[in-house]
Amino acid sequence: MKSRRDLEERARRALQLLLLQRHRKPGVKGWELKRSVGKNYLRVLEYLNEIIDSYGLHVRMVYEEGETTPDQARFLITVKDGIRMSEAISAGWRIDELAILAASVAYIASRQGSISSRELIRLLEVKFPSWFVEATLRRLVRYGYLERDGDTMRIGWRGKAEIDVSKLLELMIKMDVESEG
Amino acid sequence: MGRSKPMSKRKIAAARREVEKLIAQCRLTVKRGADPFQIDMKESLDKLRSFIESASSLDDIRLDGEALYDLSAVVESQDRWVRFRSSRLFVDPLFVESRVKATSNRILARILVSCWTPIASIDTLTQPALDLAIDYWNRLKPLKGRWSRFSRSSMEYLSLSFDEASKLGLLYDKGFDDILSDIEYHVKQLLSVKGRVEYSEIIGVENWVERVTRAYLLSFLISSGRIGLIYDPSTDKFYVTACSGSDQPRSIAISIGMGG
Repeated sequence: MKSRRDLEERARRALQLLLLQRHRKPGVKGWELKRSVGKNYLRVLEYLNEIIDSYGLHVRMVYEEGETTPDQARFLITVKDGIRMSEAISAGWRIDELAILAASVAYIASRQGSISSRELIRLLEVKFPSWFVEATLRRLVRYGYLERDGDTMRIGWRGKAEIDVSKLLELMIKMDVESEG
Repeated sequence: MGRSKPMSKRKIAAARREVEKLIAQCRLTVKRGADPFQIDMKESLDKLRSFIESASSLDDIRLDGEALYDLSAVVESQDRWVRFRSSRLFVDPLFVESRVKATSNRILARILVSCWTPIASIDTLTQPALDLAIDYWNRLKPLKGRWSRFSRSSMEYLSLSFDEASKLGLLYDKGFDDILSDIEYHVKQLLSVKGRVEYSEIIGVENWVERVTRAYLLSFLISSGRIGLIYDPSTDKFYVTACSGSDQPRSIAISIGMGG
């Protein structure tokens, strides 16, 4: 890369690409960034990360099924430090839906990333009416938090990008079931 | 390797079914991430060995190769399973299950929110979308003109001839029972040639309306028990048979593709 100014210019271009949603899915593929920003796009993203860090944002790379190289991966900008419960509620989420998402992701992750949808539904139906489970799972699949392949359920591309699965499992272990907070 | 005593046709067919079952079991185990150690490797390989020794056709050899491939996929899955269980990420699914059951929804939601970093993105209007919107606006008739289409007076005098209604698909030339009998006759003719017919072969016609109609009629015949439907896990396809093989009624959703 020629100069700092050049790096800044490329970072600005990368930021526009990452933020502006042009397809159904947000973010861009590595090869799209390479085409627009240049072959050193990972270095540009590192620089961009340093800049947006102060605004509480973070560039994240997500691999979907069968992808192995950064060129194939999807790059997204996510919130860095999480959000508050009140913000999630005001974004249109119900507590029951969030609970279903938490339970589904944790259960799928504990089963190596894929389970039969019947097993997941059976677990969720212990706590929620079946119509609500069906409707919420359909919504989560549509948003990309979960992925349904026939009878198999996996964590979807959005779930991988937005949820820190290892932290979720850790909190599941540590949580105090008695406390209602 | 010495060849064992030749098997009877019935035994070969039974062995073939066993191998097909093994293939389906291996695929399901890998796909669903179930415990791969539930498959007994030694027993499966012994089964395959005796099958290949009595193999009589090229199809049998292909089936044996397929089974070996799927068994190797299970071994790979066993390796992943061991690695995963020894990793930091591993939590017993039963433990997660019990936690989910015992915890209130509010706590579960709070846990999720604390490790949730939503995507930041901006929805924008692109140039092609803007062009499309302008084009739509220019073609749009005034509101008065559009509403007049649905005015009470025009609704009152709306009438259709039998031919017009038939063309629109609102009326059929024949009664429902006749149409049903026609498709049943067609299916039974196909079944007289071979024992089972692939579901998509029966409904697979070019015309979308005709395809949906056939799927509807077929589901009616299957539900009433006049013909049967089976699922073959080795080919991952549904087949129509002469009669229903299952006493346990259940609902199945089959995709028939996109219509246009």
